[in-house]
Amino acid sequence: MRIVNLLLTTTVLTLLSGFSSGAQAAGGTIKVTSIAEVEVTVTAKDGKKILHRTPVEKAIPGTEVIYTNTFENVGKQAASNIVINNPIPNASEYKAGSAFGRDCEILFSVDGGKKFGLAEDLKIKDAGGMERTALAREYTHIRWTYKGQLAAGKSSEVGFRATIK
Amino acid sequence: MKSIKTSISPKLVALLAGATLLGLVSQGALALGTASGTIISNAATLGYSVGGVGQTAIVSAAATFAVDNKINLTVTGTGASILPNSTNQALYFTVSNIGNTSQSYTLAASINGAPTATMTLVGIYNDDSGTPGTYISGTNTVYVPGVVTVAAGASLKVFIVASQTAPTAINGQTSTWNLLATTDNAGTAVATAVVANTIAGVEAVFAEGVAGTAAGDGLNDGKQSNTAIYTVAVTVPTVVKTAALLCDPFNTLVNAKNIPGSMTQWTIVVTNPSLVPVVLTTITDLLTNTTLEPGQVAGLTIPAGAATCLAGPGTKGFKITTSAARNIGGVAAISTGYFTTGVADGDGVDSAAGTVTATFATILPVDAGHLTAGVLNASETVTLIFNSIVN
Repeated sequence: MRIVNLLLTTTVLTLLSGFSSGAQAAGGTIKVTSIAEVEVTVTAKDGKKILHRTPVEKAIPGTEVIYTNTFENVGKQAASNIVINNPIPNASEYKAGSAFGRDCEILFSVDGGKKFGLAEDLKIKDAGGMERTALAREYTHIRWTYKGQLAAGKSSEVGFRATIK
Repeated sequence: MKSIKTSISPKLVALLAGATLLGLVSQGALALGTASGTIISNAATLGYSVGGVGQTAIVSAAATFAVDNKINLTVTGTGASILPNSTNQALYFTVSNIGNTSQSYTLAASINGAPTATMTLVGIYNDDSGTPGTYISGTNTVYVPGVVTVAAGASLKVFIVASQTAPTAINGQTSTWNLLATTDNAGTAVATAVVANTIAGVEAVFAEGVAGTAAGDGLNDGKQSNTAIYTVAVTVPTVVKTAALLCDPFNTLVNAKNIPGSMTQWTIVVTNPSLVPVVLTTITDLLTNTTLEPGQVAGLTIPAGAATCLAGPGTKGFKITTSAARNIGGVAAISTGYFTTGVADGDGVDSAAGTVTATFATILPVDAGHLTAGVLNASETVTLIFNSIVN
């Protein structure tokens, strides 16, 4: 019984202990890493206040979290048709205008990832059946489509900000 | 038929039951934000091609962290009007948990600033008299830290109870009190401690953002305080005086003018507008450029001799009426309500050096409905009437 508990504890700690983690295709071509960070203001040596990103150690309702997905071509050939889907994390609301990704087309979904579109094209029907433009906090997914090829040895990153509800 | 089973820890059941039985915590408010302990997780899925051939999509390992215990609370207080020499007077406070976790609180009362009315603390009491918001001495129970757990979004309602120790307080004096709430670990009286935050753990994060009114209540310290004020409110009777011209020596009763020799009837109405009795002492009226007509105001008609607007021959120059049926009169048992205005005649109404003085303890004696001499019960009035002649 103690061994089982220890195993469970170890598993949970493994899941929670890192704010970043990576995954790699079985073929070894692309490696994807997701991290979650917050911005804190720190004072530099020259006295200037600067924003610094740290792991999410303090997380309370209202905290704005920066999620970054880094993808790296660790293979020997260029990769193309790169598409990254990211559900908005649980208990979180997407922050309007925060999605970023160089050389990417960024689309959003409000229906659980079935359909994607530009922010201004996303519609939602209210309780009375009236259609309106979806609010950022109603987004369920973000999709980045990388334009062009990612050469071997190159990497790029996409991400967004979301606030804990 | 589907059945839904839910599970809840025995400890939580006990805490909730305690709060419910005591009836001290108001529920109904929604939890404010994601509950502490919630694991937030983010993972991305990447699809791609190599050499024009689609590859198996990759899912990143999730980046995860735990939502911490956001400690945020507010305290609001409601003041009270008190009478001099009053005991067991209550100020009503609400402590609201606007964080994301159930909390308990240790409460402390203290005087804020320099009071002008002297009050001594009796204690902090639960709002459990059976009538929410009402403190009943001997019925409400003393607040004990660690007994009540306040869920996120719920409120705790208590009273600061104090008694006046210097019964010389006068109208408008005040005594301001702080209620300081310190956040404890839920179900205990142990103050929540600050520990280093971690990614996976659930730690306290103080987030009140404002300092309260009590000493030692700073920014983001798990404490919050606010004030409420005792105000001494002595009942203030209203006095309204009106005049009616009766006659003048030339026109007598018809088209009388305010000229020398004319006679005016003065009516002074004293009213207790409050809901509590007030004891009247004296009322004085300085007559300027006019002289009291000591004859009579019997029946409130023109006094004898009014055909020529002369002072009447009688001695009943003063009349008292009351809105409530009660005994009226002094030593002469003046059941009709008429008084002579001679000095030192003992009937409670005197006139000397141009000043009329009425002493209420004499003219409004004790009776079945008025247990203190001179008392005017709630909403009652007493009316004083006399005549004077313009010099």
